Amino acid sequence: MTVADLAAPRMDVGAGAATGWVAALGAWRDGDSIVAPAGRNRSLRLVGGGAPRPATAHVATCGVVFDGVLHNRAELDRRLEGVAPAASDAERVARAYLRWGADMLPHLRGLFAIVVWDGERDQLFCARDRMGIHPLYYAEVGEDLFVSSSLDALVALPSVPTTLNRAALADRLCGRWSAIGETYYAAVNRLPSGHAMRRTSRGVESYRYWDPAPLGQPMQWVRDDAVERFDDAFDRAVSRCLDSGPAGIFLSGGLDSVSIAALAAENSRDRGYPVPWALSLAFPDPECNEESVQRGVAHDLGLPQAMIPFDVAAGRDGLLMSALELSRTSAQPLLNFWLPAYMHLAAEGQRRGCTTILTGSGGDEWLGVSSYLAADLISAFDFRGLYELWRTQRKSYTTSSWSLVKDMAWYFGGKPLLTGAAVEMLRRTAPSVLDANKRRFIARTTPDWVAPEPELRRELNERAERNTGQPEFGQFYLRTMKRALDHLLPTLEVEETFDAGRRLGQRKLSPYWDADLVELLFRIPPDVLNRGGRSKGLVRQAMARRFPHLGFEAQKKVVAVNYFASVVHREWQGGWERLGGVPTLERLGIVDVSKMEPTFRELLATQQSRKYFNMWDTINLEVWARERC
Amino acid sequence: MTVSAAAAENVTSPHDRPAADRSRFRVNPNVVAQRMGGDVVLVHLRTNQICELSDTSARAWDLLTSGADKGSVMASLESEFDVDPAQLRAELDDFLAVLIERELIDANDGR
Repeated sequence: MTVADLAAPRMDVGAGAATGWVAALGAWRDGDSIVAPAGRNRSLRLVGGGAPRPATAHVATCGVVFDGVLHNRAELDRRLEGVAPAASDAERVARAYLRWGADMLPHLRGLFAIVVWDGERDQLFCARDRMGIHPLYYAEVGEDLFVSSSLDALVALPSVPTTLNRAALADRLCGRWSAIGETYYAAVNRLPSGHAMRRTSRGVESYRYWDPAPLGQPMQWVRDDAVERFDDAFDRAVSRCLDSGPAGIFLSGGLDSVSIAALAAENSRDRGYPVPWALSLAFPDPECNEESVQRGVAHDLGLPQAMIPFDVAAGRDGLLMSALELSRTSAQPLLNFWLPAYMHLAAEGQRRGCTTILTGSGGDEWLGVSSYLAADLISAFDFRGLYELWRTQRKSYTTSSWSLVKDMAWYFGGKPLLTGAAVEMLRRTAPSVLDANKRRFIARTTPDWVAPEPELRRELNERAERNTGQPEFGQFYLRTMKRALDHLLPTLEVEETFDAGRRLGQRKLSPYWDADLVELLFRIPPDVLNRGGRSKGLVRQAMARRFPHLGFEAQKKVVAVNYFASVVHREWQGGWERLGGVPTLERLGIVDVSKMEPTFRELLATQQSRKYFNMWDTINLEVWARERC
Repeated sequence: MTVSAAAAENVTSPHDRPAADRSRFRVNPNVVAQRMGGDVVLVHLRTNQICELSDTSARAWDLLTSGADKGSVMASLESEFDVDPAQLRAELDDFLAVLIERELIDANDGR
């Protein structure tokens, strides 16, 4: 107990309490936990009392705050002299920094957020792991700089302004995503995955330190021994996750989680770890119910299984209300509508002793082949390759053959090629026409009920003009893969997963987001990823052999789009009434309710289910913002 | 000896205390509790609500779930914290009311 608690006990019970550390560079104050002095009357220190505390170290002129885990301690210790076996990871990082400076990052393997005070150069240096599994946010307030892996902890500091980023919220309602460095708080920025930053007397500058496939450079494809190398890297990725403690696996009936379960079961037994729990949701909709496969996999692998009916996991008040409640108390507006059910599943795992949850997330991004490959194939006149891609997609997804023809030939093929070429030509010959086109496009894609306030609308338009219409030509396939690293959407997904785990005191890990595995998958050619003529060929054939009666050789991707629409359609009215509308978004000038309500009523009446996500996201942003205004 | 047992010893007889202080509580079987450092996270599996208890409230939770009655919890917290008893009682009452309202615990009434 701290002295403050003794004097003033607070019976605080509630959700969304600020947990997490904050590293502060600035003037020293009484009671701070100092990591390193930083010049006259300044220090790098830990403020706020949130748990869990990160590791800290101070070696020579270097002070380090380290939150996370290093995977290559033994290798580092061999290269760094004088590291005791019992040294903390913070000390290893301090010694690595003293030896290599900022160039230490390629030597580090792990999941981490790092803050270093470099006393020799008089600068602060921060880094986020290659795939960004550990978040890192920062806020500059006058001369002070605050850094944390927790948004809640940062904005809980009295000196950090909590003004919301109205433009980012409005962008989201237009289906646009803000720049990756922004957060939904105006004063707080994000350091993206695989990035490092320095704060010197000139200010903050950040840069990407890890790029698995730099554009414009020849790609070093891995073809001959791709399968063997994939098997090794995948095994290592699963093994790293299992090292975190007794595990549960979110087991659906899809190839991603099944492949992880198969490897985790084998790996755990080989290493004497407890056999992982299979944690499964049984969806009520036959279109997305995979119960027979889930049970079959757990049975064949000898995994104990918790099979929870989806309606139970969704909560007594229904999924929509559970999702709103979770969003209200989350660090950022909820992204994954299904998360309450998965939090429930994680808690069921916790009850069974699971401190680590493995998920199949990332399989679609990294094992699959983007349809934008069609554009590369057309530009290379490789029509045989285009036909093979169409056949593979037809056998792997439930989309109709004709829709796939349109998608391959136009949406993912001809259109990006022509658009890229047209934009490039207009940029050189008639930039004013290009600008006018861009403005028309932005006006068309901004709902009339978003940003009624002229100032916000102007800001929104300027942001959209900055962020759209950049010509992209060539290497469409690689660009799309890289978008999963540079785009806000997957970043938010990863951060939400991290926070969900932290709130329950668990680690939520996804082997398919392992940086070494991703680096390899970038370099495996699409035709090898699709080996056997179906998507996810690298694991499909192995799973088909492992579970011969479960049909993986011909399994198509299961999606819950229609089920999502049915939930929103059923629960919308009750949710809207309990919420009492969206007065906060209206007050912030983000929506015009008089135009929004009739639009939503029309969407529901005509069952335009493709726009239901937009409706859901509006009330989602409302509950999140309401809690913070 | 546990803290709650030590605190209970300070009370001459449980029957000397008001009936309300003899109330015991039972954790709702649908609640999963996880300790994180000094904090406790509670997840209600039927409502999906997550409650985070920090510092004193986490300590009070530990005492309640070890089977101590309300009076013993009061006595323990009073001995561990330098706090005005009236303020502590009011805050403990509020705390218990929230836990009951959120169906995290049920009053067991000493039975």
